[in-house]
Amino acid sequence: MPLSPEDVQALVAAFDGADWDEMTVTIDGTRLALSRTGRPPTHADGGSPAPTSTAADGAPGGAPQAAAVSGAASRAAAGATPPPAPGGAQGATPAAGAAPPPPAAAGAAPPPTSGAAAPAPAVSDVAPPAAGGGASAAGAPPASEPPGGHRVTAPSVGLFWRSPKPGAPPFVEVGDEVGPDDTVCIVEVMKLMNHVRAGTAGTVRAVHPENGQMVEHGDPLFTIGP
Amino acid sequence: MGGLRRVLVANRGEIAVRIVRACADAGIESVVAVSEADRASRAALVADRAVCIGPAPATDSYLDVPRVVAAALATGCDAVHPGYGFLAERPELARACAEHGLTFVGPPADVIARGGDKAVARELAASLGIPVGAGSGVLADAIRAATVAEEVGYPVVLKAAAGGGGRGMALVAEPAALPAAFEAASQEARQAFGDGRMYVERFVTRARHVEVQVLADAHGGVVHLGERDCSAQRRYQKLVEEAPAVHVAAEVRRDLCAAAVELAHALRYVGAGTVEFVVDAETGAWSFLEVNTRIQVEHPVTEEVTGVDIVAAQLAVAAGEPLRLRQSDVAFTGHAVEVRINAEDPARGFAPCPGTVTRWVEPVGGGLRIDTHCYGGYTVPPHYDSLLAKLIAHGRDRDHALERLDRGLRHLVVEGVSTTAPLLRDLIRHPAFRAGEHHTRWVETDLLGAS
Repeated sequence: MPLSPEDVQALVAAFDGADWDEMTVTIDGTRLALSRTGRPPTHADGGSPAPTSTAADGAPGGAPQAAAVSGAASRAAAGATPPPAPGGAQGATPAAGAAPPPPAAAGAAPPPTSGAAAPAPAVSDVAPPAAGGGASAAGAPPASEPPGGHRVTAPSVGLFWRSPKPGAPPFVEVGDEVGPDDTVCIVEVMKLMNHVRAGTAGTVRAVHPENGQMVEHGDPLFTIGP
Repeated sequence: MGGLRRVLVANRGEIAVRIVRACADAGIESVVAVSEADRASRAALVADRAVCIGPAPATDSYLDVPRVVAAALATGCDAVHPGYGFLAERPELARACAEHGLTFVGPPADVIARGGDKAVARELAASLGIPVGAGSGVLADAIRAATVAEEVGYPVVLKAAAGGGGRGMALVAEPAALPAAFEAASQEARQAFGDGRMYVERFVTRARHVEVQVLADAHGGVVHLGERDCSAQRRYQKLVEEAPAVHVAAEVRRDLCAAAVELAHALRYVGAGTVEFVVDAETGAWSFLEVNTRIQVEHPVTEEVTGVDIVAAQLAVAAGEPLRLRQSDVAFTGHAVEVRINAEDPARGFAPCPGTVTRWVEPVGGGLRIDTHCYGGYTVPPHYDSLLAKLIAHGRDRDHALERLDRGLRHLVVEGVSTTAPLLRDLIRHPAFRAGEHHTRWVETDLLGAS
């Protein structure tokens, strides 16, 4: 018999009252992992971290107590989490039922196509700064990077997304030929989707941040070589 | 059904703070569901409890129905308030709450689904004899759209049935531009909402956006709280909202309020909702636009002129209580204006400005109200929208309210991030805005276009 909501509630209350930082309970194959730090409990078995105290990944319309089932937080483990697919603002939603979007493959999670709260996102094009513009913020380039390559840098602080929407292939892969006006990624800041262009013709030699990673203004995103 | 005991606030920012306040005033405990990025938020500080539901990206926290429901159950809540945005107008959350014995503070799932579908709502309004503007129902393709556009006359606006916030919309001035615009807007809607269905409306060149606040209980009671004028917009985003809509003829306003109540009855609406209309500034002709099945960002201006706490009313109605006020009890006092202060830099194309607010000094007193989650030392995360605060002024008339608002904007001190406050001050001081000559494209064509 899996955990009931009352069980989960009692366990959370016990955890709340204790001075532990984390707690993992396994009952009949159902694993509940709680953490105060926002990070997965370090001793959680199975290597699938629960993101938070009440992380849930229930089946569509299913009981939220499935939240506590082991592997619940597989999406959090995927590294790059898929951003919101459907519009939150005044939007409807594409999928029926309460299913969360499927986990994205690590490294290829696409950006939101729309935002969540009241002001809806706009889409704008931002030309990348001139070559080398962000080098100082970047530190030493990776060893594999060819010298003299064109650096595409982040136009602002934000989240680095390699593909236009959830489930879509990346804009570019290493080895792809690009033109100056080709979009190579999106940097999302406060629901504004900045489409970043290559700025030069050439071949993509390196992709610097991980998909979904937070980048700062001027951080190197791509190296484009001859 | 008894009163609510403990409410999960499934939102963030200023509206989460607003809901916590309403709960506290009603003697209801509040638990705020926060993402990892919002642990130090004002809502988390003032709520009875905060519970972290996931990482910063909204998909893994604020937009995750099972996590929200699990958080409510695990913290012993008996209700969920969705605020606006995020899951507020997703029928799935309302449905999941119902399935797990939680009270959803909003309309039932089927009302959200019908009210939120613009094409369905439009057809319902038309069936009640409410003007819906020249245009169509859902169109099969661009060819059909072109036929309708010829009938109603260019310019036309193409709209996504599932759209919102300006997405999935296209203004088409001439027949040649229609096919490409149709495909682009439909594609955008498909990507943003998973629904590419489109319809056509005749475009009103000088339009005023007027909306009516309604409150409905589960026993068939419906009242309206008057209208708001939200015509000062940039890219379909409201910048300034006010109540009442003094620049629209009194008989038109009366008709809009009556139509909104009629539509709410027909939808079997429950809770707080808004019925939006477009009014032609030149002819006074009006038509139904859409229904919003949630609390609105701009609800405070209505609260200021009516004295009704709309969030408190939401909580009471959700608990099954009948409305405490009849239509004849609703009285209007003076004029209220709200500005939305966003962390954006108007000088750089309204670029969002996340970062740490190093100094935050709020204007106080004399008819001012500020709804905000901001404080000195607060770090605005880059993951969510840019709304920092809503400054609301109430005065005996519009000029009086605008003078107070002007003083409030002058006395607001924000350092560390750029905000739209200086632009908003220019806006509310502009002679055309003062004279009420603005329309929904005025900010872009005149205020920003001239500078």
